[in-house]
Amino acid sequence: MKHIGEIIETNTKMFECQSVKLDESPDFGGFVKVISNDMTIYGIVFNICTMSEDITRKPVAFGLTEEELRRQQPQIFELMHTYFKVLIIGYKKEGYRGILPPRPAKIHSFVYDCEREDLIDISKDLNFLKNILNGQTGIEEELVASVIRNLSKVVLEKDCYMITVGKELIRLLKNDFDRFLTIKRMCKI
Amino acid sequence: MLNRSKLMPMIYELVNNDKNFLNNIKKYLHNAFEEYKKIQGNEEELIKKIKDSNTSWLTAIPIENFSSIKPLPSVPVNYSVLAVDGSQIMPDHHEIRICYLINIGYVILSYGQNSYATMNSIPTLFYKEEELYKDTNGYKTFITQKDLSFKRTIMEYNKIFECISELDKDISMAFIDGTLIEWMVQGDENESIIISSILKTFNKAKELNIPLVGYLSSPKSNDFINMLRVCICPSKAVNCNTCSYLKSGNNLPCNKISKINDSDLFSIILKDGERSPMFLSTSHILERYGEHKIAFFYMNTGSEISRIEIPFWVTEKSELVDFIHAACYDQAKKGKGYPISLQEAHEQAVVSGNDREMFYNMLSNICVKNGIKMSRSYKSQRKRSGIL
Repeated sequence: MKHIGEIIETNTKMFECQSVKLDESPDFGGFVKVISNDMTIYGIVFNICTMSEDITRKPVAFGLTEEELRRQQPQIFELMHTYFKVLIIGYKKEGYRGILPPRPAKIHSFVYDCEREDLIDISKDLNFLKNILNGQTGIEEELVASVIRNLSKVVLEKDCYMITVGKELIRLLKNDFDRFLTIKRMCKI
Repeated sequence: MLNRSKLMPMIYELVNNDKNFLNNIKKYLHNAFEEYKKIQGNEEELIKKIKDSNTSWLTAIPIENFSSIKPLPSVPVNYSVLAVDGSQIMPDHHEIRICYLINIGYVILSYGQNSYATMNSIPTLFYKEEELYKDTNGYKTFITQKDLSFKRTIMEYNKIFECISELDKDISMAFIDGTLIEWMVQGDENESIIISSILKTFNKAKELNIPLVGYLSSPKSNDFINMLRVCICPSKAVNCNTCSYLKSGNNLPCNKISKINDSDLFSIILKDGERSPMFLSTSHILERYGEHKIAFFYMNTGSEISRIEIPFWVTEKSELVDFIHAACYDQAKKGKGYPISLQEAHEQAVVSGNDREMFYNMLSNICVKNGIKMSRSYKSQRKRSGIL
């Protein structure tokens, strides 16, 4: 299994990773995992950015295609990195639990894409919906919708699953019907 | 603390002084340009006059015709360039331990097909007795800033020696930030050791047919102007020691162009991308360089006049000279005025104030962990936090 990133900042609720390759990160709303201490921590990718590794050096526009730029200014591709932030949704230690792990993921741990079995585990515990809606990412509706769309592709009974998720969302957003409708609209598959 | 109200009048004075100078410089430039036009076609005569002259300043010897201003050759798509630069943390008697660090940054940029960039820096820490002190006529003295800068120069050349064979394109060059003429070494007790270790890299570069190129941004040199001064001199055999104009107290004829330097003049001669004829430097230290005497030319990069220095063997291969001309221009264009490879090598090498702090903190932490008591001098501590 090849890692796709490495943790460069970490806390109880989320961690930030540097992608192994420039412009190659997991998708927004994608699931990743990290093996840290004696457990596997799972999370959802919610912010991806590519920027200069040195905050004092700002990239400038060249007006060249990527191919031309690689031929003429190869060094700039060494000086920029792609980063992604991951919201933690659960961990596995003798079985998956959709709650925050007792300890954050360790810095410099490798991050991997989740496999189908991981996603099936995650789909069974709907706590992640509340976790996302708690508002730590700033793009809660988009993220919930994206995660639901992704999970619906791996669950066995898709229609049945969508009803269960819909009911949970109604429970969580019973005081905010507009928000529920927004998410429902974005979940159209 | 800087007393601004006292400083301001001095800054005004400086600016006024510069304003007067800028008014005068036009006159000097005009004189120099007229002189430059006069000597075209009479190069043979001039070279003879220069060779016979005995001046108190360095005079370049032209190795191409004066009229041969070369336009920019086509820039190769596939080429690679190695650039090396260094920086250091100076020894500080007030810090927890007297030591110094030299950081050598290097980059290899390869353009065109299969382009790639390698960028790295290598720190070396010096702390041993023999690295901190030297023996001067039986006395133990602490090494000077000059010694350290020579050490750094040798390390920069050694890095080129190491990396130069990695350049895999058919045409490539190795860039040095600044001059290839180590005139500062002249007269130093280690002169021959320093020069001979540098020449190892010159030999290797020649063997691999990869030119070493020194790049000087906004050079203050005036080898060419000095040459014109020889032309202006009415004496048939120029000898500054027996200058009759000096004795009679009159204004020296050669003074009518003396206030400007080479790049001032070439900024009105060279158009964007053009280069001047090549000259041979007559710096005395080059007597030690053997077959690697240094030649140079000026080039208009589009943003400034830069001075490009190359070993003499390169001047005999016109295709290599064209490549250097084009590649230096291309590098400056890519770097928006200053060669991109040298900029990146500098970025790799540079040791910031924060890096310095981090280094001393690391050193002190590791010492404490190993049970070595450390303390900074009172001066150093007081510099960090004043008493109110």
